[in-house]
Amino acid sequence: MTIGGVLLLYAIAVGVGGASWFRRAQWPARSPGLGIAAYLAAAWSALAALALAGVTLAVPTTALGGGLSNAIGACVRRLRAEYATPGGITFAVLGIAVAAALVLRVAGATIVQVSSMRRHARRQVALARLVGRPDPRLDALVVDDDQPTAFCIGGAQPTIVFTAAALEWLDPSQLEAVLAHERAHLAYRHHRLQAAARVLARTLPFVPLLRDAPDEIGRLVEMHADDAATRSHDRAVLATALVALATAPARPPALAVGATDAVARMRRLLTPPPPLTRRSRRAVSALVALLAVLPVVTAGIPALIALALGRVPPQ
Amino acid sequence: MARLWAAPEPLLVRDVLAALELERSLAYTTVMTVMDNLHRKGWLQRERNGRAWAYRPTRTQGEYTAELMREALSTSDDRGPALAQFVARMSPAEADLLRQALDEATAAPPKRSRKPRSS
Repeated sequence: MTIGGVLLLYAIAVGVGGASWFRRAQWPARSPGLGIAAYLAAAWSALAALALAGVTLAVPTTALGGGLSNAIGACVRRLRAEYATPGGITFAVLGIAVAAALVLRVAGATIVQVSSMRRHARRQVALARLVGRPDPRLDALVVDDDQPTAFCIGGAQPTIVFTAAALEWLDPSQLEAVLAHERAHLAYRHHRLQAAARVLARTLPFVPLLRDAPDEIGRLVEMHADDAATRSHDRAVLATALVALATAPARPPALAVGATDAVARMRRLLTPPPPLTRRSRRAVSALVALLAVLPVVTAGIPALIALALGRVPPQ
Repeated sequence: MARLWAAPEPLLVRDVLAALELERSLAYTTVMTVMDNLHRKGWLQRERNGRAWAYRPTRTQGEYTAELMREALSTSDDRGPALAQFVARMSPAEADLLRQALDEATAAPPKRSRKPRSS
């Protein structure tokens, strides 16, 4: 089997199998930070493997082969043999097209996502400053509205907003706990992770792992912020604040979304799962590193073989 | 902005300055620059009043608040990923489910009272 095929199978395995594995996995809820890292690493890995599969298809029949062999000082014929693919030039063109399309899609989606995020955030902050009044005690803006809620806007001007109704609805300790949760979102720049997840979903919406990234990352950053908040605040207080704000009467009536997430978050706050042991944390970290480099290393294996064999002096 | 929202009709820069000077002293040009910026950004409309511009807010405070809240409570993607709500609101049926789950989870420890809305 050629290396391009191996990379393609790897991309499919991670992109499809990885999604259902993550959906079932229990450990990310125990260490949401590591969960986020692992998910993003896996998604990147699948994407990189797909692009590199395209590149390797083109190595044997194009100038790429000659250039690569010059660069590593290996024999061209040997290199071509190692990267051999059936189909010749057709596959080479196809491979390069796939790789280029992927790179362009990621670049395009990143530009669109970042500029739209900045534009929205700027307008939202301007609106919040316009209609809100600063509350020096909370270091947040308070907006006169009768729907109790709290939110934060990440970006160049990190902003936390409470509605006046939220201040009435929550007692002071609950308010502090919610504030700590929102501060964690801003401190850890969770909006960037969300943006990265959306770039992945935009790039290849038909790959389950990438398609689900915004939802999965969204769930995990909430847990991550909950954990940060409960380091200095009582878990039960944050849980009751969550229930109070989630169950407050909505106007217009809320659509049926997110209840399972809210229930899971509340249960997790009240009966926290044990954090991962040091050993499991190391294992997951190793997995993250492996996912990040595996496609590149795999794509490079034939070049290394050609390098080793090509350098053998002729008899 | 608050001064302009409170006023029933468009205000001249010197009207705003006079109102603000009750609280703190500001230069005429400072106020003029701020109002001109607000106009350029679309927050204020202006019309000729003799040789000066008279300004009024493009929309009411309530309309701006409604716009911000609509984005904050929205569950769709078009508000941009920068805004994160603490928890999404749910339908009454889901709310019952969540309250029930809370009651089950806190059956043993003392229950916190939820403060009713006072207004």
